[in-house]
Parts: sequence; C-alpha cells; structure tokens
Amino acid sequence: MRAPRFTGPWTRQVTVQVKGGRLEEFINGCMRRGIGLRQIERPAGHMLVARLDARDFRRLRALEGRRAWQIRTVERHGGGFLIARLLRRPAFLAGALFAALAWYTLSSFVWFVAVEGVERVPAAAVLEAARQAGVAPGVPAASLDAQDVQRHLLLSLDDLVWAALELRGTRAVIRVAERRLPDMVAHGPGHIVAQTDGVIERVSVLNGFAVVEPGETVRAGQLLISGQLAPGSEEFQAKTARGEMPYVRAAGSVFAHVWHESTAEVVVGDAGVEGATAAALAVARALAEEWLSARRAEAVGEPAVQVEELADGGVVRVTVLVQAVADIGEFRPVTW
Amino acid sequence: MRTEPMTVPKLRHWAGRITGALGAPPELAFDLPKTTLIGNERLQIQNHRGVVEYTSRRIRVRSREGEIVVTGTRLRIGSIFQDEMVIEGNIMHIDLPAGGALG
Repeated sequence: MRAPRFTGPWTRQVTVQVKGGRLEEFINGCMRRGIGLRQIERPAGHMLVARLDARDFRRLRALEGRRAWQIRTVERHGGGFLIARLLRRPAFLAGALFAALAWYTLSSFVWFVAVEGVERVPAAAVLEAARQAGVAPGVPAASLDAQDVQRHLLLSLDDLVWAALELRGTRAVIRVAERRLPDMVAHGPGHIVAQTDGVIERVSVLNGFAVVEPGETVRAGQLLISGQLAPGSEEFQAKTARGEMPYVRAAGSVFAHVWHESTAEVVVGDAGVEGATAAALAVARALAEEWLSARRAEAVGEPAVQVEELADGGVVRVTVLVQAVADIGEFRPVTW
Repeated sequence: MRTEPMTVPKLRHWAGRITGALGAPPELAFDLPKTTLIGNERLQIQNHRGVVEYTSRRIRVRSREGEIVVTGTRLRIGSIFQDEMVIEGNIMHIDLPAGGALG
C-alpha cells in the first residue's frame, strides 16, 4: 500500500511520455509496483503523458523492457532539480560558499552601538565611555567582555548606577540605569550636619531629632539634627514594615558662633608701611565679608585686626578675625 | 449431524451480517470499492484493482466486485496509486457492478 505523497516545492517530479499499445497495462503495471501517477493525459490512443516522483523513474525501465513501450522524460518539476543543477556549477558553488563565509564573518562583528535607558546623561557620553571600553562599530564581538565594559562604564560615569552590554546580532546595546540622586537630595531622608566648626547658640528643629545643645562645640561634618528614627518607635516599625529605610528628612536651623580668619600680605612699596597696611586691611576685610555672606552669617561685634611686619619691614600682613552667628546646618542625604 | 459445505456466497452473507452487526465499514472488511463523487467533476475510487480502458470519454476500472464504468467528456485520471485513484472531467454516467457482499 502506498499513500499519495505530499507534494511540496522541493519534491522532484518528472513528466514522462509513454508511447505504445495497451497503455492501460502500463498504468496497472505502475500501480502494482507502487509507482503513483498523477495528471495522466491520454492525447491519443497510443500515447500517454503522466507525472511521477523522480525516485520512481528508474523503476519504470523494468516496465519498458517487458513491452514495447517507449518512455521519454519531457519535463522535470520541483526545486530539487534546480538545486541539483546549481550544485553542479563550480562558480555557483564558490559564490555560495563565499556568501556563507562573508555572512559568517561579517556577523561576528559589532556594526551598531545603541544606548538605552538614558535620560539626563547624554547618550554621546555613554557612547564615548563605551568606545574607551572597546565597544565601537567594527570591533569583533568576541573581543568584548560584558563584565569589563560594565565595570568601565560604571567607573567612568558617576551618574550611572547600573550598566549592561547586550549583543543582539551585529548590534551592541548598552542598557544603563541612572542614579536618581536629585530626587533623593530634594526629597529623600537625611541628616543635618555642621558645615563649619562653631559653638552652638540655638537649635530649632522642624523635623528629626536634635543631637546637640546650645553651648556645645561642634566640628565641621558633625551630626546636628538626626534623621534616624529611634529603633522600636512606632514610626520606625511602620517604615521598616513598608521596606523603607528608618529615616526621616531632618530639617531645621542650627545657629552657632563661628570664627573666621582672613589674612592678606602686601609688599611695602612707595606708599610706605601705612599705605601697605591699609591695602592689606581692605583685602582681608573683603575676604571676611565674602566668607560671611557665603554663609549668610551675621557679624557679632567688631572684627579683631592684627597687623604684623614681616621680612624686616618689607611685607605687611593683616589678619582679620571675625566672629559671627550663622546657620551652619547642611543637609546630607542618607544613601546606601 | 448433517454438515453442508459452506459456499462462498453464503460465507459472504454471514460475514456481512456479522460486520453489519458490529458496525464496521464494509469497504474495510471486504475490500469493497468505495466511490466518492464530488459534484460531477471528480470521482475518487478506493480499493480499485487497475484500469481496463482509458479514453477521454470512457474509463473502466476493475474492482473486486466487477467493473466500474465512468463515461463522460474530457475524462482523465488525475492520480492513481495502489489503493486509490481519482477521475476528473465532466462525469455524466457511472455504472456500478451488481454487488453481492451485503446481500
């Protein structure tokens, strides 16, 4: 038993022309041998045209020998024949081989570099950093170490917190995540710390917990108002239960007495010692003013002025010591 | 006990009744030809036994039960395999052999 075969585009079929008498016997002979025939035409009594699978063709010869049938191939169908014919042509073979080789070679290079996930950081900066890490059009894909590139990107661009190199065919895609620091600074939790050394005068807390008292001497960087919640407190437990850090955003003013020395040295010239002293004093005062205004500090009393003559009277040094009250609190976000 | 030799028609008669009772399709049990006509242009014959005559006006097909004669115009054999064949064309008349298997 033989089921009709499925005919696809690659099936090789031949159309044969059979001449002779008793062509019904030819059909039956084919049938008995399991050779399926299709599209059987009988244009004349002594002639028959039929289509059959190419691999059955050779078996027709056995039939031919028994009777006086003339069997002739008139047409060949199917892509299989085309392929077989093409494979016999050396130039085509060479071309196909070359194309396959070129395809393989070219596809092992990176031809495009793309950046995904940038918002504030310019993509060009990421591309430049990637180029330094070896990711650029034209480099062999095998030369890239994703970990290495990632490390280089994170080290060279501070604003990235995460980076990954992904090779998609001939495309290298650099996916990055930016540091969301501005949000953290503007709204996130943190402490108030001392900007400069000083003696605390008064503390007014808007949020958080004061950890210094008036009269206390603090150093620059010292914690003034803490944003950390007391462990065990209700708020602490509520925050940790939500998976947040147990911190609030500390806020408030910490006024303190601060001191600052400004020094200026002027070479004594034609104006004499007095002129030089006046000039140095003006510069030192200006520096002191600048320092005060930068901290929005208010001077307390008159500044102390000290005048020295150096280098056997060749140079005048004026030191202005100001005392002031200023808000020395500085916000420092809690980061991890 | 008197035993009577079972004749072929009798055997078939009983076999037919048994398969009929079992609900089995008779073309499977007896190798009977199964002819399917689609419109008047396509006739499928299963369990055929070869071609006796093939012209564009008449095709005679051998089957176990006898000859199936298809007449019409522009007739041709669309395909022929060991167990099935398809006749295409303008089919006008089909002569079926007198069957006996199912009594």
